[in-house]
Amino acid sequence: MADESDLTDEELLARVPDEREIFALFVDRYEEKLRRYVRRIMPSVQEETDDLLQEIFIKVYVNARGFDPSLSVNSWVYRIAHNETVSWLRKKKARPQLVDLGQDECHTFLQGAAIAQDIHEATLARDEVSRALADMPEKYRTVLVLRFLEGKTYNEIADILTVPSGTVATLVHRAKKAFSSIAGKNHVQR
Amino acid sequence: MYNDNPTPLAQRVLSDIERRHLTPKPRWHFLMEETVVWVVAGVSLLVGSVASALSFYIVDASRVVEHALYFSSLHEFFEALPYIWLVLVAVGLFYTLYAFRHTKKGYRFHPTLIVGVAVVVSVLLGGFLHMTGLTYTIDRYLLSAVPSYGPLAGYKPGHWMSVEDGLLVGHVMSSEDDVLVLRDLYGDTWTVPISDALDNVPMFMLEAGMPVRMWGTTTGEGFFEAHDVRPWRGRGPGPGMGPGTGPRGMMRGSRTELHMPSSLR
Repeated sequence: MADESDLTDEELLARVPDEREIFALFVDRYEEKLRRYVRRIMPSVQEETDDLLQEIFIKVYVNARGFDPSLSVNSWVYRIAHNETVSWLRKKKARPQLVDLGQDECHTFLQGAAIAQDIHEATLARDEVSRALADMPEKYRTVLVLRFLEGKTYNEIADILTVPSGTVATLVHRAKKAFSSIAGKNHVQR
Repeated sequence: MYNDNPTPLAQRVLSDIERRHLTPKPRWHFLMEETVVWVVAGVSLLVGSVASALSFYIVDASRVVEHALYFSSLHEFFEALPYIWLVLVAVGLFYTLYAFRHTKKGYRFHPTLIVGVAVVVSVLLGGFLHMTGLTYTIDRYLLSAVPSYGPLAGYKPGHWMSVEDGLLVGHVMSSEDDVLVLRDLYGDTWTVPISDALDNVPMFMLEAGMPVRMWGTTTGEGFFEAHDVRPWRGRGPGPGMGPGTGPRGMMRGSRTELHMPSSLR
């Protein structure tokens, strides 16, 4: 009998409706990715993140038969995670105080986003990057996180946010400008 | 067991699924959702197309552009537009966009592109429906069955009835030796020499009962010299309109809106 851990995400998801127990494998595969993503969009205490992740995975389970094979499972799961996180944020009417970011992630983000013309990378502390991200409108923060921290392509982001790819390019461009402006202002104020 | 050592979160998720007796939604649920969205998009597009067909028909049949050009007045133009249908065109486009964006792959297209395609389809389908004559039937039915429809749909036959501005509308009573006898919208009879107009008159036979509109000048009590005579099809006055059917208290020859004559109802 083939080992279930060798199954692709698509194969695994296809078996979920008939074999509930196999969903544990699916949760295992996505738990860390989604935990990281959710905490980048909605920094919160561990328990809250767990509650949200639980709701996300339950949504995935209930909608397993609605998976659109023209998408990748990854984009589809991220789409559900994104929608649940945004509605969670709206329900709580909360804004993140700081975006959860490690030193390496901060470096990757600044390099990837090439946001260092007027704000030198070295002078921008990690908490300043986190605060600037937290201060941004949610849609801008999301595209920056997806693009430069999650490493998604424009097409993947388009599938996750359900917008045209052209709109993603515009959003990324505007988000980078907004980040520079907010980070620059915060930096000067320090 | 597929996973001997599930994470605490996986355990929580599975026990929550069990506790709440959750099951994956059946495939038909998603098919139904998608079908409903497509039906809404299709119906909206059809409504928009019918509305644009009616708009074309009314602008054409009421000669809205011609009238505005005659009076060199944008006000005349905007006053005669069929707003109810134009609003329905907009509503149809809005819901087409809304529903299409909710189809599985609809989000991949830019809203401008979707609206652009919907406009083109509405215009083409609307043009086709207009050519079938369906628009005439719908408009005529609504004019006679729904009293409030006329003002909302730019029904102003009186716009073409303004003797002092050189416009006369009515039905041909007889036509002999380049002279017409015409009964206007108020039931007044006019003798109309049309020899000047013959060069301008397109190839059609002036027959008794035919609704016509004409340009010209009054040359005396009950005399009107026509420079141009055209048949008035579509939204023109209906046949068999007798004297006294004009609205009470309306000055003869004034360019005032007329109500639908009772003979059309």
